[in-house]
Amino acid sequence: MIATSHILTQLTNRLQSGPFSIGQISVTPASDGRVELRHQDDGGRPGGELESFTDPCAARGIAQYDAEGEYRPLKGSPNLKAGWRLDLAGPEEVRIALDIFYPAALAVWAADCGGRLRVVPLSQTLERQTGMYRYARTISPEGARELTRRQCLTGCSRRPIWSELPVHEMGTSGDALPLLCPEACSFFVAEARLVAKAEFEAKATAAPGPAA
Amino acid sequence: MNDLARLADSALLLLGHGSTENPDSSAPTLAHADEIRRRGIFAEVQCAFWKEEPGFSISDYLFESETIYAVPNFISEGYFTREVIPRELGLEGPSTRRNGKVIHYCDPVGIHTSMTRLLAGRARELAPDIPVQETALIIVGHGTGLNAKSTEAIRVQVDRLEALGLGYGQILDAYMEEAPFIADWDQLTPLPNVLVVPFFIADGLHSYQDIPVLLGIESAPTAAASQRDVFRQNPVHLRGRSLWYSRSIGTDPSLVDVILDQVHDFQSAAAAA
Ligand code: SF4
Repeated sequence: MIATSHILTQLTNRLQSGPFSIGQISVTPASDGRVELRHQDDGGRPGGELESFTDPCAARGIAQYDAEGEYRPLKGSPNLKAGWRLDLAGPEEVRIALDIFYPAALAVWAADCGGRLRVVPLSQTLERQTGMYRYARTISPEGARELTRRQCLTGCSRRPIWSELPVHEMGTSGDALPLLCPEACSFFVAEARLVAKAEFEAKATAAPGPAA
Repeated sequence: MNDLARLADSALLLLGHGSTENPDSSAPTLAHADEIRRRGIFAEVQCAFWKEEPGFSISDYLFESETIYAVPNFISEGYFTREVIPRELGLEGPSTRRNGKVIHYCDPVGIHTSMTRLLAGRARELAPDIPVQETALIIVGHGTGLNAKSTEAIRVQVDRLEALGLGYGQILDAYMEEAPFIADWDQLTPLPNVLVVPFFIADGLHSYQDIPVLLGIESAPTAAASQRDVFRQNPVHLRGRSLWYSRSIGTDPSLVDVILDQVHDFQSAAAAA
């Protein structure tokens, strides 16, 4: 049952030890048990200047589109819009909001803390793809590293701990609640397929077959 | 109900397709999950998606309950329910045990018999006061070689609707990309009133734009801001008939009951086995 949830216990403990950040969000517990979430770019702004919500599900409206009105299918994209604050009743509501802002992040973090997180290497993820995504497995190691830098390190707030990139490239989380990515996501796989195709076409152009 | 009492210790995982293009695809799945969570039937309710987060493959971490019912919010059996979901969830059959948990894999919502009542209810709501014997009800799907199962699912629904004896003059299936074509709706029936219900899990380009253009309600795909207006013009007087056009069946709030029915059916089948 929810009351005995490891995830919630873990989150409650983290809230008791003071403010922290997760992705682009600052989480600030107050002495009365309420918790405020806001965009880290709004750090110094008076609360009155921000659009305020008390319903944790308001996160859905905030996270759906970026500041330009573009849809955000990848919630880890570092383009969460600013200008809002969530004034929440406690850990349960914080969990609901964070599950919307960064789906599964708390669950993955709790699994990691409990030593239950299974990190899946890219080769395994690509190997099991079928249909049009089968082709993604032919991506070169260098192509995969480049894509990881572009798609994950630059284009996502999560840390791709499944990748072979050196730890120093991935950065550390400091006082942040880590956004761990244990397995390449479907966006990555879709991109990997495109890179693999481009690699194949480049090779075909560079080394044309025997003249007819 | 004993079944419901047992669910209080279990989790529900709703599996949807999702989209990288717009939020409409996952919206009904999220809304149904919210409603089921609100009813407090399960200890935990979560969604996972193929094209959105959280992805299918990390859904294992979402739950602390030992028993998880996974229900595909898909319109028919096919590539996703038979191949992608079992693979990504690491399923070994109807019930998969691992790490002290059991995942029960239910049938997709679209093939449940209670979908038929949902369609009948939607048709009645759409035009409550018209004489049914002078009315054709058309269930419309995509229909391509890509997923023959979705065409089959619609044919089955049409047969079941017929069997309910609702009194409609005609109940027909039609498709965007194969015969009988929905574009020829006025050729498919001579009746003066026509109800069109899209058999999709979510509203999206097909229901907002493509089908309205094929029906002739819109002359060209409409701008995003007015998409929902396409459902507010009923009835449209067109080609000498009165035409009522519905939102996709998967957006109906009663789909929640179909999801729960799939879980109950799984329980009954397991108990019988
Ligand atoms: S694979 Fe990369 S882009 Fe996808 S969630 Fe993980 S870190 Fe983000």
